[in-house]
Amino acid sequence: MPTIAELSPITSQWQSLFNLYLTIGTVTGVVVISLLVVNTLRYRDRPGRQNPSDAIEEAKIPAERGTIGAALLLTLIVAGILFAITIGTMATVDLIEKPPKGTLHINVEGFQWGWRFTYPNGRETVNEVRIPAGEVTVFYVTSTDVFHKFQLVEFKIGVDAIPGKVNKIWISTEKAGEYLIQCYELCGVGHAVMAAKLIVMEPSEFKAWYEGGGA
Amino acid sequence: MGEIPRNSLRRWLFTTNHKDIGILYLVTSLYFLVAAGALALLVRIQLTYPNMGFLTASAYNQAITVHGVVMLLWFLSPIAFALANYIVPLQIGARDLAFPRLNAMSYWLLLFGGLIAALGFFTPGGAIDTGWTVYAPLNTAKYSPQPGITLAGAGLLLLMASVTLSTVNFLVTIFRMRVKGLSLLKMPMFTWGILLTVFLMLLAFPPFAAAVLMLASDRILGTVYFLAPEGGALLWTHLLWFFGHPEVYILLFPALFALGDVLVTFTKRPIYGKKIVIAAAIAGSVLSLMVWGHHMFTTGINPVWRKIMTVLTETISIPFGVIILAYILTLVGGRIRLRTPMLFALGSIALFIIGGITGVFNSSVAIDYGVRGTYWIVGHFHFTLVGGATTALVAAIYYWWPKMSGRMFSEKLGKLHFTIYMIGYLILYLPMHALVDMPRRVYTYPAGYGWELNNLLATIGAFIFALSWPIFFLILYKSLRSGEPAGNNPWGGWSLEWLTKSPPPPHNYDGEPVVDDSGTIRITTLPTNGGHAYHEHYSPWPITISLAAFLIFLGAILFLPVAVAGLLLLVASVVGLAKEGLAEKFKIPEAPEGARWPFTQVEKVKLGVWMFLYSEAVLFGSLIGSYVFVRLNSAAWPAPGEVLSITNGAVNTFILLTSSLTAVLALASVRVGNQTGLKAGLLATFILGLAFLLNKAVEWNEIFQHGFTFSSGLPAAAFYITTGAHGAHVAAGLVVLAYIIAKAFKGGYTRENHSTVEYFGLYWHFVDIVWVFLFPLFYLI
Ligand code: HEM
Ligand SMILES: [Cu+2]
Ligand SMILES: [Cu+2]
Repeated sequence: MPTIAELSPITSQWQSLFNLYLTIGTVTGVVVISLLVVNTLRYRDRPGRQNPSDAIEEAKIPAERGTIGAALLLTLIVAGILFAITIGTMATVDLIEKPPKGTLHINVEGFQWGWRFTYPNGRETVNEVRIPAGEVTVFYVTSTDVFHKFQLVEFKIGVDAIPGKVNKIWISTEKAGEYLIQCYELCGVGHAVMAAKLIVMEPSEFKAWYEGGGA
Repeated sequence: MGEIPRNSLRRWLFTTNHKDIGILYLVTSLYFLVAAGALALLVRIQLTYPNMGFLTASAYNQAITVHGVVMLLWFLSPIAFALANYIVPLQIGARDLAFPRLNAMSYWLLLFGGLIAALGFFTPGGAIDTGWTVYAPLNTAKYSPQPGITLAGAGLLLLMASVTLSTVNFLVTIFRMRVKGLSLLKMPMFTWGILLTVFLMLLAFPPFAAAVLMLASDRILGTVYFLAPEGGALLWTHLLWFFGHPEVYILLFPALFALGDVLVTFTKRPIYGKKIVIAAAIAGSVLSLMVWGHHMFTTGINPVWRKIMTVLTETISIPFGVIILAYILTLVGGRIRLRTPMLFALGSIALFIIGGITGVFNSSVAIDYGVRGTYWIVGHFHFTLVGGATTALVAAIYYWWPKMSGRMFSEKLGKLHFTIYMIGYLILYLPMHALVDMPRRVYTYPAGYGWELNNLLATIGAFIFALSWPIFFLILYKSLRSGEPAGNNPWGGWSLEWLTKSPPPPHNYDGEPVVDDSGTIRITTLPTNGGHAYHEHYSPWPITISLAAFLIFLGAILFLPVAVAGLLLLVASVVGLAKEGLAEKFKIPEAPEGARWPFTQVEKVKLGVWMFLYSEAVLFGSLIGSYVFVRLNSAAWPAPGEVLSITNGAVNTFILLTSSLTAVLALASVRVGNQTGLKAGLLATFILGLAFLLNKAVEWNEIFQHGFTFSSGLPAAAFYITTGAHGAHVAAGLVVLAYIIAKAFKGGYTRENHSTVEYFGLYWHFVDIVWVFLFPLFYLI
């Protein structure tokens, strides 16, 4: 298995963004849940513990407590964390959505239940697509029947295949080999097996295959 | 009706008492939980190992779809409404909900809706199998011809009728029926949660209702809204998620705010920053109506819009973060008693924190490119819906159980329940987060992608988690059989429900509760008429009307004669209901001086009509919005006058506007006691309404002859569905008008007493205004 970083620039950037969220999320989660647990243990009822001074009483509307200042502080803490990760998102999304130039364009049609690929020279394949390593490939994805999602499983990236609409997604990988394309939107009984092979070939081999017109 | 003994079947079928209905909701929702839970176990068995052969693809898809739909709409919402029914009137010191018979109808519509959807399992092709999101165009008859989906659609429509009635009922109850001195801000947290929930429901459900109506029309009449490539698939996702995102807060709020009450009682301290929590929840609700696009990041919608949705979605985490931190601050300095309800409450907060954090991942459009449609998502939403909401509602049931049953439960078994619940839960759902790249909704998956271990763990966890539920039921059963008597206030709570007996008497309080200026709640003794005699609490019509609706749908989908029987039953029930209304049997006493801000001046029924019209406005807004959406996406559309005659439309506009005028005249007449004017005005309104419908019938017939049929394309779909829905509203108005005319001819309205005429007028004007929008949109442009 190739490492994530070797797969494709968008995959490695996706993974590092995910890791950023994961780090910040884990730290936040640990801190907040610790606060919950520590305070519960610290203030739990045990012999000798007195009622708080503003303790609630039966048949009495409780006093109000808490200040606006505290609320603003809480809001700022949460907002600050979110701000940091939003920046990371914006950079990644631009990379995903703006493919570099000089590319192979392949039209993809999802159907119940399979994938049809059409190359610029008119060549058509079904449930198998070959692309050259080291070059940018852009998939133009649509559907001839229902809603599907075209997912490049190992690349952790995908886009919806919608009738009447074309969406694009690109990859570029150095690593030749076989990968999995799978539908990720429920589309009927064949959904689970709506898969295709993505075969990444050395550029010279690809050229021979593409121009040779053979199988 | 005479007295009905408390231990009879008739009591449960005909009851309109909010506590009885609360219990019906509770039992029903737990039943649906068990059923949908069993389906989930089947799903988990199938996924234990790669390439298992336990379920077929079709059975699997039915299982996950019905599991999801039932858990969301027939378990989680109804169980919250079980508590809302039982507890909210008690918490505000009311005798019942504002409209008890409507409340009974809400329950029966929900039950029959669930039954009709479940019937799908017994029809060819099985139950609905499209996933709970029912994406277009897979949901159309072309790709999914089986009746199971249409039946589920009928079930959803009944459910939405139920929800609409409930929202109106709870809004009016909470705004109008609080005891003297209980201002909105003094209300307990749970009542606040329900108030916010029904507000959101009022806004979020009508677009979904519109979508399901359009789908039903596509499937039954053959229109092509969702089949059309001009945006059909995207239109569905817009409507669904405009509902779907607020829906998660609809599911969350009752639970989140029930936590507030539990925390206060078991820490013995007031909520930290109650106003802040409420303000945050309101901010979250408003935002929740603007973020549906985050479910559509990968659909290729406009990139700028995607980024806005990302930012808005991350913003929405702020209020929820604030609420959780406020809850944690509530613990500080308290005197925390770790009884069973409190344990579940704390567990729920911890799990909700995790679910909230993984939600932030999904709000990133970049991350969503990868995780949409994966088990990561399944893990995320189970942490919020099960870990957060369901766990909190278990806490709430334990908390209010002594009030509802009058008995305590075993604390020891409660702790055992909590332990098994949490262990099972974590083994079931934590591993799903490691399946970031595994597709969801697949009945089988290949080996070799590193998915095996986590799937095996999840299945083991599922069985442990499932085991915790029989323990729960056993605890409740044992408590009923042999629990210690609970007394009025076993946990030492402050709010009103703890001041009356457990279980409370039918009229809730032996006397009139009031909150005085110092914030002390007293129950003043009252002259006897304040109590609510028990035999008033029965009506057979809610169940028969709901049954009739069930039969009509069933007939329309499967076997027409059944629909005729349903129609007859409906007519009989409506007549019965009207008679009951004429006899003025149902009057829930409002406290003579309640706290009614901000609707001090508005009468109860009028407020209800307003709320109802509000949801109707959103419904028509959605239908019109859908029309505009597909029209903007279509290259060609018939020119004005090409299909529809402009003259004809103009005539109908004129007729309908005139009928508004005659309705005003009728009201003006009865206000000055002019009976002839009243009768003439009402009759003229009726005749004009009828003329409008007749003219429409002629028009439809004509354009049908010229080939503009239901199935002839998008223009026809949009026209027939939108104006058809409007026509149905006119027809319904005429039915009510017939009743009013009958009563008017009996001299039923006087100068002092004519509110029905006024409320009918509100509705009628609303229907006319809708037409004022439809006429230019369909005839002139
Ligand atoms: C015994 C406990 C439960 C188990 C084992 C369980 C398991 C599952 C599984 C395996 C799926 C299918 C995921 C997929 O293939 O996409 C699923 C879907 C779902 N579950 Fe649960 N679940 C449980 C309880 C709940 C509860 C209590 C709720 C809500 C209150 C819930 C809501 C949902 C929803 C909305 C879906 C999505 C259905 C769809 O994809 O259309 N689940 N669950
Ligand atoms: Cu699929
Ligand atoms: Cu959402």
